[in-house]
Amino acid sequence: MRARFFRGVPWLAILVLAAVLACAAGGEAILPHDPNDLDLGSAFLPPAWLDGGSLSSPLGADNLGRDILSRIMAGSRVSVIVAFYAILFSGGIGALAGMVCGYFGGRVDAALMRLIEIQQSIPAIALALILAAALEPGLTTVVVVIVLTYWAWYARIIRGEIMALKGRDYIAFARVAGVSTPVIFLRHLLPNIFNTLVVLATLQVGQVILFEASLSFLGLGIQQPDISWGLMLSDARQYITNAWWAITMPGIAIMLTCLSANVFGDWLRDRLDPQLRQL
Amino acid sequence: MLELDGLTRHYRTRHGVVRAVENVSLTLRAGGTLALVGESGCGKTTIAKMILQLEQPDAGTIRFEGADVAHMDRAALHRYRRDVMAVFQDPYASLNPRMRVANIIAEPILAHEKPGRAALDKRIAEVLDIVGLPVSAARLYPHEFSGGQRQRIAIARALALQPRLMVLDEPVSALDVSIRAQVLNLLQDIQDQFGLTYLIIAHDLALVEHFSSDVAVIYLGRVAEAGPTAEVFAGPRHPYTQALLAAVPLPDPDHVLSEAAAAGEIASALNPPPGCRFNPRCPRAQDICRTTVPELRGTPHAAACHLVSEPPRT
Repeated sequence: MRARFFRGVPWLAILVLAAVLACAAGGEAILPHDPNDLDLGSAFLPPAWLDGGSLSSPLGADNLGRDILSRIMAGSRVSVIVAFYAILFSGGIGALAGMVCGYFGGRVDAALMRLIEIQQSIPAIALALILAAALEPGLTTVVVVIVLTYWAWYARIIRGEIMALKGRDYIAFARVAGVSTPVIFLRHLLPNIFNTLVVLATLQVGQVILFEASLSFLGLGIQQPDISWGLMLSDARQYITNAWWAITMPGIAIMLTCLSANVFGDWLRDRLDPQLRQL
Repeated sequence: MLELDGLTRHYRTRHGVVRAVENVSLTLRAGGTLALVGESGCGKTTIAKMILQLEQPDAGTIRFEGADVAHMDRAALHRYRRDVMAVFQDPYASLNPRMRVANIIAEPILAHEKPGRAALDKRIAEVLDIVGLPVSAARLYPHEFSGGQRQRIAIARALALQPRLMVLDEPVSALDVSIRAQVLNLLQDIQDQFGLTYLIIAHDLALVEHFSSDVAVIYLGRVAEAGPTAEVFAGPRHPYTQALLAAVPLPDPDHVLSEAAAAGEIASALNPPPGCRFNPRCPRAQDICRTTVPELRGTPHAAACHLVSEPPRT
């Protein structure tokens, strides 16, 4: 049983995700340089393997001479924090809404489903623009935008699962025996959708990180002097012709992290919940 | 003990109104066993769901010891739920696969009482013993048991609070033929021991004849014939009951099915025929059968058929 569970484990993806988590958890202590330390003398320092590169800044430096490796490591923190809160809240709200819709049906379901349809027809970027104007742009706004965009996705899928579960005879018996509705939710419904929630959350990690990067790139998310991968792309965009590494390195960090999260999520989905293969 | 009066349930669908249950009136005597018999889709499970308050009737009343079940307040409904339990057809679907047997049996108890751990364990052991399972079963999960054993667990769970009425929805249909008799005998013993009243849904007429004291034959949501099992089986009055009984296979190679066997398919409850709902299949249908709904007449043995004159009371 155990041996089968671990067959085909995507070790490389897990390694990348572990490295990202370690960077986020390590904080200042593990950074080779202060990520905000300006050194105009080493502006546009190329990566170590190119002419003029230096091993002290293995991935080179940006237009203000800041060490790119340190900035990528520091930026992982925003990605991890945003992913954590966004998934916690969108998953929590979405799962609750889905459970209520699927179990009670009727008018509550109809009202919430219309809300979900309206929500899903609003472009996420437009929503972000409005929210960034209304609220202060920053980490909280990014999380709010992502939660508002993604809760409906959880709600729809969980609703379908609950509707299938609701007809099970053991739930009918619980109702017949006078078991209260909150107990039915906790004892019979939640354990049965737990796998689905884990799979959905894992699959969402990559999307959230990409979303945060997009918002920060557009100036709607994380603001200077905080560091985020999306912001690094934005800073380096105008120097793409003379210092390609300044934009490519954080881009590779985003790509590797999202790819690893998706590969890991796919594997977990196949292991835990084969019914979700279509997602 | 339980009286159904004019019970009606319609489902509105895209294609029209499905008249699943129409004006059903039945009485369950305390300590008796009433069997609901009929083809699939005739509405017998809908009747059970309304008694179990999983669904609400559109019209008519369900009275339990005189109290109207549909209009009970929360406290009264909670007491009703303690007195009325259910055993479902498929013991693979009726036990939560993620729960241990002890927790499955404890579920109804904990919904109504707060016994201590030791008292709870003792009661679980007691009901397991009643249904013929070892105490060690409490620690296991449902998948570790056979179908017959699972149905015993479902019976133990329904029995845990010592209810007064048990709704048995095809309790042995999903089991191997070889163990059906064991489970039925267990149900019979439990009834004798605890003075339970049963409502059993069945389509196996041999089972009904052996197991129930009263029978109601349902056709397309209406009661076709009802009465004490022995009388109905000895002298069926409604042509549908006659057809059902004639269709029971006998272990005799020379036995020829009689002409009374109903031809054709059960009509749709979406568009039931006017008059007597059985008239399109009835070998003896008259003009009146196609226009007027027959009333259920006679006590205790009643039939809803224009061709049966009310028999003299015996």
